Amino acid sequence: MPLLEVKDLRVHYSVYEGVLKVLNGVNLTLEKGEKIGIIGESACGKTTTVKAVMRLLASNSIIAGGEVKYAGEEVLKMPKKKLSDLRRKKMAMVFQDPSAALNPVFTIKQQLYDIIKFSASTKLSKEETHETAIKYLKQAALPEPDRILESYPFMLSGGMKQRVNIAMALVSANELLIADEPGTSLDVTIEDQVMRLLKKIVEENGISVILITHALGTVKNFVDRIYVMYAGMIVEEGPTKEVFNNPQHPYTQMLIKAVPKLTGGGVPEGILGQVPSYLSPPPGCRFITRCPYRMEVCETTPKMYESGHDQKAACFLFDEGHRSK
Amino acid sequence: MSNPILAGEELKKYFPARNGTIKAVDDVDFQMEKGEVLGVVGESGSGKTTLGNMIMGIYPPTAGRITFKGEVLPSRAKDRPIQLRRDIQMVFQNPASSLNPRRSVRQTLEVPLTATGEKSVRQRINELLETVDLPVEYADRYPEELGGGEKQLVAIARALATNPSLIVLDEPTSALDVSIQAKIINVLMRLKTRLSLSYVFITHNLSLMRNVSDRVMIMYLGKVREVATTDEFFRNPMHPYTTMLLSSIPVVTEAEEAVKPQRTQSVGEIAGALNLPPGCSFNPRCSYALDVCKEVDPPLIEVALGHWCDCHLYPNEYKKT
Amino acid sequence: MKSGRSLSERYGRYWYKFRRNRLSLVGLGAILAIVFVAIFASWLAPYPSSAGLYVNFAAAGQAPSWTHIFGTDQAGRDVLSRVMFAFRYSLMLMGVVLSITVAPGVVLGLIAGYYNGRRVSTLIMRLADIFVAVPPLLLALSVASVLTPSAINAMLAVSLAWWPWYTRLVYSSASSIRNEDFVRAAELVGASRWHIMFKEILPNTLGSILTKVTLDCGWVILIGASLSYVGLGAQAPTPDLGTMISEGSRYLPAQWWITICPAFAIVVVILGFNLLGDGINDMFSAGIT
Repeated sequence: MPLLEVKDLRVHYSVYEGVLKVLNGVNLTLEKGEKIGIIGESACGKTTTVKAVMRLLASNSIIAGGEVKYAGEEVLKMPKKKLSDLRRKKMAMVFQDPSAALNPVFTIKQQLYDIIKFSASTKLSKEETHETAIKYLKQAALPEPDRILESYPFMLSGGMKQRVNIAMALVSANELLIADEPGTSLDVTIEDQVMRLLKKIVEENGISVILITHALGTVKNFVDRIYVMYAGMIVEEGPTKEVFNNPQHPYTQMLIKAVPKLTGGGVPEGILGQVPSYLSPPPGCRFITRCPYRMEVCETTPKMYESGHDQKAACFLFDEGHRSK
Repeated sequence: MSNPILAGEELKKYFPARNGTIKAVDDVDFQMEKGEVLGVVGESGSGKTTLGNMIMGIYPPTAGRITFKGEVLPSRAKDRPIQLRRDIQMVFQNPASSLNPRRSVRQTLEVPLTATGEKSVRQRINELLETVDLPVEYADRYPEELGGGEKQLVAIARALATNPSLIVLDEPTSALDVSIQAKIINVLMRLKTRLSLSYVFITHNLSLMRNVSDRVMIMYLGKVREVATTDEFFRNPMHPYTTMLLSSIPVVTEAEEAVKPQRTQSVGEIAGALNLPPGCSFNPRCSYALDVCKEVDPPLIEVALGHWCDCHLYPNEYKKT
Repeated sequence: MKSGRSLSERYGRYWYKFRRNRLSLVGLGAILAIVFVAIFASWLAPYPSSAGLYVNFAAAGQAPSWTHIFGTDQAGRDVLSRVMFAFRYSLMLMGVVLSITVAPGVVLGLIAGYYNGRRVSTLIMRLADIFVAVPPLLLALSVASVLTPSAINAMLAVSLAWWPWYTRLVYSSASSIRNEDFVRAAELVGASRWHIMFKEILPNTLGSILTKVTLDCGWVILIGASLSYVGLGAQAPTPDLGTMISEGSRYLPAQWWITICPAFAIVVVILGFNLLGDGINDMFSAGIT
């Protein structure tokens, strides 16, 4: 049984202009010990998807359909107490801005101790809490953990803060860790270190990971499988290597082409056009407005068709009945 | 280089702090040709933004001077004659804060135009919007109605309104998605050719630099570590920090992976700019550190034609025949 | 320049944010009602003569009933009518004080924020500090007692105590907005100081200024009532909430309505402005679109 199953998830937001129909039937699965990446550009719905999984959606959100199952149990309608247990002991999230997740007026010790206390199954003594804290800080490769405990967040660099966040997440993430753009606000040499460390930790502890990012390069070295999202739909999924070397969906192909390459090749072309408005999205495939291969049938919603090597793409180009490629 | 459009000599910017001095820019020399894109690459604390601010006159240098079109630039922007101020413009990193949220695009673009009593402002605004590939209807929109890329295009239009010769671009696309970044960069490159502009392009993205700049300048903790033409730089990166940077870049294709230096891996934290270690400030993280590196700060010397590096591993100056 | 936006497009979003909270609407309703009553008191009051020199000892001291909803006071005057007319004085006080203090306070705050770090700024802020250090009621009392007790002097006194809070508020916003990229950009293209202060910085501080003005409406009325309570505001027989509370306190607890009803009116006014202020704050907050 997969650890996490998201089936046909639809999430809308109620705003001044109307209703934003963001998620349009998102499907994903995560097996135990697996690492998946969700890549997509801003406002494509990747953060909305994981927030739905953790039930952290904003108050103006509407769950318009679908289900989320964690270890076989429905999450969206789970009673508060059970959900709280899940969050305390099984899953955790690392956010993009390392400073935002740490309370500036408390020491790391105070914050870390709180987390350890809340996620423990039994009451821990002061020494035990302290030892646990040091253990997690060491696991996150933080030098001089005692000094870090006594520090306030502003005394630490961005990379160190993010490692503290990872340590805090590991305390309660025994099974699932969700990382939302964890390296985006870090310098590139520090991001490289942090991501390598994170990979080592999750592999050693068998933790399943959902990594969300818009930086294609970051996700490539980290995850086993990739989901590519565009305007609230999953457009492609498959093993990392295959999706990058042999992208199937037109959007994925154009996205990879749009990244400037270290090997040269000039300034890449962007993708012509714009993301459709969520207020009145196109009825079928949402990429229709920008796709060079659009056909009439694209006005209906495509399913995920098998294609490439163990990949799936939501595109009629791969539908037997409409093969034109 | 004869007749560089912009040059900096022995530039220093020190900020006093409670327990020491922050040497944001420490003895930087650089030169730039007209029509060139000079890529200034560095991470946080490298001094690249401070350098950009000094060129704009936002911070006066603690020492050293900047010359523009052969004349020394007054340190503060307000001491510069209006025409000079308008000749050098800037595009900022964060599109959200570079436009006043309470003013429409039209009102934002009016500011540079009315400051010199320009007639036919309305027409000029339409021209500017067309130049950056934005529909003229956008003039009445407010920043909250624009996407990040569109905001940045408005910021570029604003910078162009004064017909500058030099634009300092401080991480103009770092906050944007990849597909939008490509669009903005295309607009910038097209404009450079059409309007004969020179760009100081500040960024940390080496993949972007590879495809955009004519020369690359790497900065770390306030000092220039390596300067070379783009081709030479990527063919033959020298400084250990450069190789560390190159090895850390997340890349997308197998071909790029092959190009990255394999043996160097990023280690250590970027030192605080306060209380720098003696000698070469990179030595705590450098896997090639020699004893001399801990004591003596290496000078920036021309190690190959047009290729400068400050590292004890390359002590020999290039002999011009 | 003709703009392509209609008023409803531009401001509809503000109204949407305002009405999301029901209580803000309650506040708005209460205040609109009070303003309406104050303006049309002459027509709405059941016993308009009660607001002036009027004595009818036969009807004195009657408890609240259907004929006199707030009862009658010691001179036989209808308390409800007096409260309605008293709203006029309160709202007038509030209008005058705020129109004298807000503009100068805001301008000084803008200057202090723009020139932050320079002598002008320090001068302005220390001056503001001096006035802030004295408790407003005390300052108002001292000034009002030196001059002859009257409505105008009460307003003057309250104004002196009020302006520095606007300066502080605007200074704190302006000094940080001043360093934003868009202000830098305007400076770099040669915009004048005045343009930057009034066209770039000020519009971004409007939210907090308007919220404060709304909340202050209630506070000014309260302070005005406190001044009247000790006899330094409007003089008899002009109906005034503070004076009514003061005079009526002598008749507690037996004829409680003479004091309690005007006090209740003050509570409603202040609560109304507070709720309205909450709504205005929501309007300007960057929230759910």
